[in-house]
Amino acid sequence: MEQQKSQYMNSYLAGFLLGIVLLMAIFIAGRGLGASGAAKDLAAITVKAIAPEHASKTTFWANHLSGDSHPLKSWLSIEVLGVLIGGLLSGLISGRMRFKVERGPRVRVATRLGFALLGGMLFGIGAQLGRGCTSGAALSGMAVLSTAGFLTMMAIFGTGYVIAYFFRKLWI
Amino acid sequence: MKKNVFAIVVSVFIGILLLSMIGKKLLTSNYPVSVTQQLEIMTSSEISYSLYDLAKALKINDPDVLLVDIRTEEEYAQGHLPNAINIPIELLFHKDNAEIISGRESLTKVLYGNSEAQAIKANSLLILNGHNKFKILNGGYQYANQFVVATPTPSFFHYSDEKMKYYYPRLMPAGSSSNYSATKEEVKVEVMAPRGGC
Amino acid sequence: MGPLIPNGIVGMEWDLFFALFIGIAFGYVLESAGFSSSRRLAGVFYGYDFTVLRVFFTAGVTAMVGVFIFNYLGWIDMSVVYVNPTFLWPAIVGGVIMGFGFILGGYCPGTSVTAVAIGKIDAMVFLAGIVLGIIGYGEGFTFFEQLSVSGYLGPIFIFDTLGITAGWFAFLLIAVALIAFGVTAMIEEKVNPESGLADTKGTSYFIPVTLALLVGVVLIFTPFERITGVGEMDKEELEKVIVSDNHYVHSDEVAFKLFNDYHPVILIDVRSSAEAAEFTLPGSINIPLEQISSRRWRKTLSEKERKVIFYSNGTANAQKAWLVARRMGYSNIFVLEGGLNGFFQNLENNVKPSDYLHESEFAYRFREKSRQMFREGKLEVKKEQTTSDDDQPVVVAAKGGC
Repeated sequence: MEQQKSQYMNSYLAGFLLGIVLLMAIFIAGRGLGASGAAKDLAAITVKAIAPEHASKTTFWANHLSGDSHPLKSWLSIEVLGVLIGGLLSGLISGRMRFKVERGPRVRVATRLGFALLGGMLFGIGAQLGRGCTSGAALSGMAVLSTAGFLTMMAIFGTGYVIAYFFRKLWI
Repeated sequence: MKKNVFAIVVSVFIGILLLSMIGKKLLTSNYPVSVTQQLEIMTSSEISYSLYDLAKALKINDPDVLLVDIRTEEEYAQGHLPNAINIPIELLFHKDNAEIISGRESLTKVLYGNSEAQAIKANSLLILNGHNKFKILNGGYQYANQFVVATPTPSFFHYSDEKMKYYYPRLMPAGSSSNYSATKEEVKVEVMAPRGGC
Repeated sequence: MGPLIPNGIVGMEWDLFFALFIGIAFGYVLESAGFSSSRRLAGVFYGYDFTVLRVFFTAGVTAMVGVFIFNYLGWIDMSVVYVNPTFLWPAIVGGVIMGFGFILGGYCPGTSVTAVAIGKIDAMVFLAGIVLGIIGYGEGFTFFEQLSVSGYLGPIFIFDTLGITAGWFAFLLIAVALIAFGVTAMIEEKVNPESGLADTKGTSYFIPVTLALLVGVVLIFTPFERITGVGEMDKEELEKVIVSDNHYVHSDEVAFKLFNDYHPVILIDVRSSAEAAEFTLPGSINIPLEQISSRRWRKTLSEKERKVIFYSNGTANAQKAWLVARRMGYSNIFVLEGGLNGFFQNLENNVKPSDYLHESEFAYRFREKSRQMFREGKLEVKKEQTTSDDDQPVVVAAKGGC
């Protein structure tokens, strides 16, 4: 438990640095950060690989797959690749690399993984509707003072607090 | 120790930002109208005061019209329009002239100079300082004096700097004007459309 | 100035490079803060670990203050930056669904990637879930479509929605964030006293907190307008420029540049498109006066090497265009003295000089020749690309022969 004190970066410092990174993204590229968009690229190429004709006929996929460059060559996908590399670097430097299934003490591995899958699926759907996730819509939205950003953020965290009690067994 | 260094670095960074912001604020004044508003005012039809209006006003000696000559004192002394007062451009915001510039709101205040362009300059300075109600005489002192005061020439009353167009055929062979039409190329929009998303 | 890539200051080739670089920084910070742990993330909902709140709020506020300051100092053109549009119903419904996703899954997309990087299997499953969810959404899109586009309000701003100024909102957000930090630190202490999260306590935060509040107060008085020009000129400087009056270009200079294939000027006809269609000087670009402030012409008017010369029939409209352009920050702008009318009158009324100055003689002969060239229609119009970039405006230049 004492290890935690020096193991992670001070959260205010981390927040400040993250804010600077976001500011640089806005200043250089004219846009904020994001993550779920890369998942959409992945989804699109998966669908194309499995059922190419269906992909070209469905507007939803066809629109996303149109354009000359490969869907994974989008700004978001490359950025998320960077996130992966950055996370790897940080994990390596701090010695946090380890295969493991993180879960609360009262739940089994299988249950945890099941809920992880379900949670991911819900997040995927929600991010499409909300046009972004916590980084893309909420955080970047906050930086540019958009109403959508704050609305989405309050919906996410508000819901989380309301339902947290019912799923406490997963975590505590 | 680490915490203190962190706090100091952040504080200095923020402090410098603050100072530059405050500094800029102190050194500059804010514009009272936006660019769009300024453009709208400058291109509105109300800002125009034609030679016809001038002729009418002079004829009845209209007390509600105030002519403001923005040229130098010497030029004013050599000749000016009837009942015009002299406020050289450099003295527009002098405290002695404040009463005329800021006050007398019921009057129609018309600026004129050696040219319409010069009056436009003076008018823009006024707009940039919140005085939007001045009008500009279509034409400079020479034209107004000659065609309205000295030898009233009604056919000239609707003259304006921009309405007069050179008769191009005088200079060019017949039918050749179409060679020189403005470029019809669609100028491509040079700025990237904002992109974003999740 | 900014944003650099959309404004062409940094080439598009760098776009993906920066995406990668920014992503790396993003991922590094997220992981270092401990966001690669689902238990830590979930902690914000149960009170034992408020890292998410601290990082999220600090990051959002820092970036927002940065945007505010950059905008005020003219370092960024916010009209070019993406502001996510508000679709009222899908934002709420999507947010609620994501809330469920967060509690059940313990991650959000960005954090799950950092967790995958360090080997968390639950994160990998979560990520796979996201992809599946999106595929499901795509396949069932007809079901979602109507909801997804409902309640469109445009790219509106939170301060407008709340009916306060941007500055006040910024201050309030900072204040709320600081209060939240204090309160959650106390809650954390109660719920998790041995957590060793001592880095969130302590008096050394007095300076940053005071500074943050100070910044907030300053922001109350700071306007948040989106600039459209290159960088609006300082008002006093503009007034000096207006009075100094040395922005005129004589018609001889323009004629000279037209008739030699050396064309270091850009001619802008500020009259209406109808008038410009009837006749215009060869190689001119027609920008009607009302459109001078449009973003469309920013590149053209930002020209630094060649003189940008406004002209109209007389001088009045060109003068007005010049005034607005200078205010917007374009610096290399001039006005043709006498306008088109003056230009041609000089050529037609070319009087043989009675003095014996070499310059007057030269001017006289030059104007004779110019008049002849116009009369004989000898000016060929040549199309020319200014650069090879696709997004440069196409400028038509004049070619003459002597």
